[in-house]
Amino acid sequence: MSNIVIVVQPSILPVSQLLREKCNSPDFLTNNIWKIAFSPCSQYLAIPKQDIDGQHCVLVVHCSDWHAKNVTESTMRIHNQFNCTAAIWSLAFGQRTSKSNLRIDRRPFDASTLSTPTVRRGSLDRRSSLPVVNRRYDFSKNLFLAAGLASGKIEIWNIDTGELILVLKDHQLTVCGLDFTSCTMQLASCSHDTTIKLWDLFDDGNMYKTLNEWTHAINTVKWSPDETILCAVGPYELVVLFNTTTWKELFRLDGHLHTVVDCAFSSDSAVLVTASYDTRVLMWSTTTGEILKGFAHKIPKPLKIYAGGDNGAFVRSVAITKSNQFLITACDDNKVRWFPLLSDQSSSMIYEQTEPNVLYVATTPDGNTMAVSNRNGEVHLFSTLSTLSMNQPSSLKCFCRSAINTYSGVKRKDLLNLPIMRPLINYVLYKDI
Amino acid sequence: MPTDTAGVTASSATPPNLYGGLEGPDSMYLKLISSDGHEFVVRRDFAVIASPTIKNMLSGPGQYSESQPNEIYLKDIPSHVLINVCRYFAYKAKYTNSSIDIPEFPIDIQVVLELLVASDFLDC
Repeated sequence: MSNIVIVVQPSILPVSQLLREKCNSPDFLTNNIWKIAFSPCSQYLAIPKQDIDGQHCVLVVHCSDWHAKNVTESTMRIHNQFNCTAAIWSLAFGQRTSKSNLRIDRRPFDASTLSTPTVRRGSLDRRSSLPVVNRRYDFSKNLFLAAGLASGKIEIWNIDTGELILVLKDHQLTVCGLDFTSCTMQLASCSHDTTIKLWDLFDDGNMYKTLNEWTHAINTVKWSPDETILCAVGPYELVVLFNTTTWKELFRLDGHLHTVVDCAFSSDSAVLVTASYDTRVLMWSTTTGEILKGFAHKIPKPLKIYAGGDNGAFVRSVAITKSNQFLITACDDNKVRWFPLLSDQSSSMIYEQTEPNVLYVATTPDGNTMAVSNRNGEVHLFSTLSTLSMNQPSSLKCFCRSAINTYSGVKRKDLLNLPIMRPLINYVLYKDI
Repeated sequence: MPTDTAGVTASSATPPNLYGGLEGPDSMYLKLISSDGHEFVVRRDFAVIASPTIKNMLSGPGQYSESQPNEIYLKDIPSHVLINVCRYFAYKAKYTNSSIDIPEFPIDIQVVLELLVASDFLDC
């Protein structure tokens, strides 16, 4: 199979200048932008800022086409400015998408093939959304933004009407991580008060579960795209995966040497990547819990004493592009790097660009745009399309692997016992990367 | 002349200079026969570009030498899998070197395992 040379050339977008002007306007203080978020429809970007009076706010920028060539005032505008009572540590957009996105197939396979699992959404629907009960809030229609504050509150705003809908008050300390599920409006929040709380927004924001097995903060929580796994990462090298139906620990993944700050799932939920202050991004299999690959940001690899301490190359955030092509990371050595995710040749970066004081990387769900935030209160926008133009359709084998992993859902362990040859099973489990 | 077994065949009743045919080494079409006898006629260039195995079957010597009748008998691949393979050939030919957004190739849950085995055999 001939190797296709992958060329990565993210180019800065014209709207980036407009956004920079808005962010740097004298109304706002220069703050560290720790987190930014794109909406599921890829048209809104939320940026936490602080205005000249010291009031914390979230700017929601609307842009119908991030790639517009002629930038006018109407291309991109500030859609909302939400004032919050405390510093904003985390942001997440949530929107109820139609059920067709998740494959709920309860028919069993024929006897010779994999048995169909019940996807988690089936059990969820029974529990939470009894249609006869009157609900105070309706979260099923619009786009919502949840902001986690330093006071422990989570404020949920309706983007379309611009009003504050709900304030979830249960955490004692800063809410530093928030994530919505892709279609059932479950919110997971993690906090410096060492707990992870799960809220069901279809049940008026009912908090149905608290996970508090640790004595330290949790940095980030993420749902897997098929909602069967919840990943929590934190200091003391903690990476833990939970089964979202039984809320038991699936795996406690060992391998990092320092605080783990960010994580991301691949689109078929089979691969998890975690970013840590030990200068590495590790790629794990969610089926077996093994390390598949490591991506280094400091070459030569630092000694363990530096990896576990101050090394100047903390990896702050990681994002996976659409169709699992690339991994984008933001590192404290002022570089944003691109790595090929599923290439079986190398784990070295294919592109890097210098971004001073970069803090966070976010990509749009449609895979066309990337936003990078830094400590100077700015957000820069880049186009990822120039890389996609070198993108050829994946092989059929690759699509099959992705489909098998997406369909397997809760019964992921059964993948080890598929009735096919061992090399193919290893391929499905991403073991030959 | 086209065979009359069950399945789609390229009829040579259509003007040959419009659609090409199944005859000869430079034919435009290729016939893939599944294990249950269903015949699929696909564009030769689509199949050869997507699958090196099919390319070798057509040009190599020995037991794979079927270049004359332009027919390939795939004894391990049933028709419900082979139809998805043919759809993939068309998908790949359409979206290679394309500048528009490439949609995901849809695969039905019932055939995905057998399709994986077939795609491993065909190396596509």
